[in-house]
Amino acid sequence: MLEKLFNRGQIWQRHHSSHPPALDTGFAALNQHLPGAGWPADGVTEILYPRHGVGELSLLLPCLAELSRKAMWIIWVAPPLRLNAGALAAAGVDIRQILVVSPRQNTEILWAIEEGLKSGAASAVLGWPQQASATQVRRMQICAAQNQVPCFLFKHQLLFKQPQSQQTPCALRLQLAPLTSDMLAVDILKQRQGWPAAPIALRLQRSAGFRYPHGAAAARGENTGAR
Amino acid sequence: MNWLYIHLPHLYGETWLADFHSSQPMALTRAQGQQIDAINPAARTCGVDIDMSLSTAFCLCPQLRASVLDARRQRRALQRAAAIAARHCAWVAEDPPCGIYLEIASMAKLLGRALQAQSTLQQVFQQRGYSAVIAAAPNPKAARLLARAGRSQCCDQRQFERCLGDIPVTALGIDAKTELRLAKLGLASVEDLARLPHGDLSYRVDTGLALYVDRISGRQTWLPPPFQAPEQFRWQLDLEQDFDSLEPLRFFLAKGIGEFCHFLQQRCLAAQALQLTLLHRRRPPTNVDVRLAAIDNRPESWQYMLSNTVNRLQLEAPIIAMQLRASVFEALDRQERQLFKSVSQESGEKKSQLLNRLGARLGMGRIHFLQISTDPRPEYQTVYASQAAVQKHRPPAGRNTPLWLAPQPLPTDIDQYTISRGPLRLNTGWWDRNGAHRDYYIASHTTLSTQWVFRQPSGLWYIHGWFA
Repeated sequence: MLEKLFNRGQIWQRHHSSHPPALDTGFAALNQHLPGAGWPADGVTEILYPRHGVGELSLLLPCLAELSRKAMWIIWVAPPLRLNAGALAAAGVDIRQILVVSPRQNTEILWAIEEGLKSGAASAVLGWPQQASATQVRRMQICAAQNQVPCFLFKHQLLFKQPQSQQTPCALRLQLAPLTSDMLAVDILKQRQGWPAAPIALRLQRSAGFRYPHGAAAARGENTGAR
Repeated sequence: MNWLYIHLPHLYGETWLADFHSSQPMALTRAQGQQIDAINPAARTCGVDIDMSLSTAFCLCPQLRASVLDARRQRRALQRAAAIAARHCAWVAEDPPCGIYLEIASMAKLLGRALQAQSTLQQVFQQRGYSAVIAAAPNPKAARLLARAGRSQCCDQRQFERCLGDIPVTALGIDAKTELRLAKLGLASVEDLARLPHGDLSYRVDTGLALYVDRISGRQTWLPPPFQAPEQFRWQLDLEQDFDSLEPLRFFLAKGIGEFCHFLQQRCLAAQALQLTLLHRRRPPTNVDVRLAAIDNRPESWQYMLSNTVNRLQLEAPIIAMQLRASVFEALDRQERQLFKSVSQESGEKKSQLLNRLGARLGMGRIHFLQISTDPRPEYQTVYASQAAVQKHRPPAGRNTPLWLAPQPLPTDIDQYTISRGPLRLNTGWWDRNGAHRDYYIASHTTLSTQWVFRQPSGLWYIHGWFA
């Protein structure tokens, strides 16, 4: 039984490494709780989120902005919606380094993620698979570790066709939950060299560029007027 | 030696404008110029002339259609005409912008004498819709002078010298200043010029003109540089029976690719695109474009790309023959000769390798780079392009836009939202049919997802993006 769990990579063994390579997340509170103080630079990070628009990408933006300074691509495989290049550029990401791949079938999505990891041309791979078995995630984890490329898998609670509680051999698994419109609770479900931690509350950077900064009352009047 | 000159006065119009010889008056102007460079016969009957200013021309003929002459298309038009001439003659030379030299003495067995050659070529060009003036003379510049003076003649040396008296100096195409100087000296025809001693003409008028006259009269030999037709690759395999699938034909396709790469390597060239044509018995042929991410001439890259393209292909009918064609090539980089590769070169190679692999399996149409356009409408601002932008984009200032955009704005019910910021009015797009009149708000849904919604003047609300 124990051997079976070892083989599946579901048990972390202490002797493996001291501090895995990591990328700064840009959030001090999150860094404190992650091994190596950042996103795993050579492994798969699974991000489970309940719906679009809770801050699932804003969480990665500081890291992506840093990665885009390298002359290597950030590959987005099968993003569920259309990317807005203006917003990415405003967040400091060099959009020349972004490659968007949109395969149709799930097997092609998984293949494209793996190709991206193995190519040596990517500084990070972001993927939105429709489903991914433990074996498939393990393959990605091995590719990411061999090529020292971070891989982020996004799992939407409704769109992902498998129970999200399913155990996979990823390096880090997070569950996101919105607290308010610009606060996000990050729950670390699994990490290397550490125990799951209590949910961490993060304030997201939503730049305020609108002409009327925070006219909640005025807007509400507008809102009722519209009805 | 005997030379033929083909003057194509309407080359550009006849090549690129389909209705050039219709009754619609047309004029072509040089890029950024207001002077007319070429006109069609209908415009000439209205009184429009070459070198006239465009505004004068419009006064004379209000229904005139003017277009700008593109230098690159002009060169291509001449190349096409030269390629036609090259089928009949071994030594063909281009004379930009609209003339071709042909050496016909060595082709006498094939083309016959000058007169026969002239009529053959006249017919060839007429069939293709060109109006050509063709003249033959003992040397190239002499033939050119005759053709440009509008004389379709075949002359030997003596006849040529005789007809020089009728050709005015304006036919030489020299600049206005020199022309004026010649007029002041009382020199009206080319014969007058040819009679003068070389030294005098060179000293008193112009050295270049003296040399030109020497070349026309044959006192000095001048030969035009031969035209080289652009390279083309073409490979065809006729099948002995009809095939329903390409599976058994992979071996033959591989052979074709081998020949293609051999063709490229022999010439130190590389290509980016290749066209595979599958011929059917009772259907128009199927064309498949095989494209690589970067130029290449190695069989393994082409082989991989072609076999994956073939995998995705669904045959609509049995095939009876296959063709491979390519006509655009590039010279290989010089840096390739270095023994050790630089870091940037190596990463560039890895990138194009990845693009090739992804493109081969998914199709090049499923791989995109991002670019930002200047369109203020958010749905047109992000451009999914096939090439990465060359320059770094500056983010559009002062705008707060979401990371995700909906492919289409989705109708929604505003009761479920709390508005936190706004409005931002967007009133644009009057130049096409997709005008946008919207008030944008940042609003938070009851499920705590932050969204970008807008209200149209009609009062309807739409979701346009998610602040992910």
